Amino acid sequence: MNDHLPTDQRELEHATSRKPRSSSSGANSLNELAARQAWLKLGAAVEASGQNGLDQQALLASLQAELIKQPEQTTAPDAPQVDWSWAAVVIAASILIVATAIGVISQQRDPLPGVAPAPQVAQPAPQPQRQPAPEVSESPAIVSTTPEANSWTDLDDAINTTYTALQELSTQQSGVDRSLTDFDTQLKQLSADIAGESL
Amino acid sequence: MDTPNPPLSPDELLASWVREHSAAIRGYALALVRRADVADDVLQEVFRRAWQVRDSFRRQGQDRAFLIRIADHLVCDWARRLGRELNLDDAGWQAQEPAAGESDPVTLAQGREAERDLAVALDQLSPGQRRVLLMRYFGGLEFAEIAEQLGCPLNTALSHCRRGLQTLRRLLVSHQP
Repeated sequence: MNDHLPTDQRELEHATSRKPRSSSSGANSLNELAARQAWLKLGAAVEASGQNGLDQQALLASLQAELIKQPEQTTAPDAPQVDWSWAAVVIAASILIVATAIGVISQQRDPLPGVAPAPQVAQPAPQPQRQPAPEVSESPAIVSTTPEANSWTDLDDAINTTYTALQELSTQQSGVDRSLTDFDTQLKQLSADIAGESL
Repeated sequence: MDTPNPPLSPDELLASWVREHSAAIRGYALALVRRADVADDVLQEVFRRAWQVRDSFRRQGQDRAFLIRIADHLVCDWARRLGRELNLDDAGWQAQEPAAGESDPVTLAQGREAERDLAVALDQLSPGQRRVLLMRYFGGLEFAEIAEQLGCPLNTALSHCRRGLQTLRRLLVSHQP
C-alpha cells in the first residue's frame, strides 16, 4: 500500500491508518503500534469530548429550521427555467431576416437616381418644341407687349434655376450624365427659342 | 465510512450529518479552541456552510473530511480574529461541562478519566501536531491534503505527525503500569 510514497510518509500512513493492520514485525513495528494505539485513543477521546455536552436533537432542530424550512420556499420557484440562449438566437435571426427584407424592398423602390426621373423632368421640355419656331418668330406683336416680356423673363429665370440644380445634381451622381446631357441640350434649345421669341 | 449513499431527502441528509459527524466536528473544534461555546458555534457554522455546497461535496463521497476541513478553517479564523495562535494553554479544558442528564457514576467517572487523559495528551502536543493528528484521525485526509490545509510543506506535516505520535507513545507508556 502506498509503495510509491517516501519512507517517512509510508510509515506514517501505516501508523495512522484507521484500518486494522495485517502484520507487524520488529521493534519499529512495536513502537509504531504503540503510537498507533495512542493516536486512536486520542481520537476516540476527542470524539467523546465532542459528544459530551452536545444536544444533537436541539442542533438538528435548529439546523432544520434555518436551512430547510426557509430555503425550501426560496428555492422552490426555480423549477421553470427557460433556455434564453435559444431565444436570443431566434430573435437575432428574426431581426436579420427582417433587415434583409427591408433592404431588398428599399432597393426595389429606389431605382438609380437620375435614370427614371430624367424623362419626368425632361417632359416639360418638348412642349415648347410643339410650337413651330417660325410661327413664334413671325409674331412680333407679342414681343412688343411689356407684361408678356415679364412673364418670359420669369420663365427664363425658372429654367435657369432648374438647369443650375440639375447641373449640381449631375456633379454628384454620374449615373444621370446621359439624361442630363440630353436635357441640357433641350434646355439650351428652349432658351434659344424663348430668346428668339422675346426678340 | 463514507460510502456513497442513495439520495436522501433534505431532512434525512441533515439528520445523518448531525448523527454521524457532529460529535467528531465538535470534538475537533473543542480540542483546538478549548471552549465549548466556541465549539458549538463552529459546529453550527460548519453544517451551515456545508449545506450551501452540499451538492458538490456529496459527489466526492468524503463527508467527514470535508466537514473537518470547514471546521479547521473556522477555528483558524476564530483564532485569527482573537489575534492568537492555536497554542492555547488555558485551563478551560478541565472545566468542561458534564453532559446533560448524565447521572451514571461509572460513566461519569470514565468520562472524567478520559477527559483527564485527553487534557494531558493535548497539552503535550503542539497546535500543529494536534491539527495533523486529528485531521488524519477524523477526516482520513492524506498527508498531502493535510499539508495543503495547513498551508505548509508536506515534510512539515509529516514532521508534525511523527513528533506527535512519538509524544503520544511516550504518554501511553508512562500511563501504562
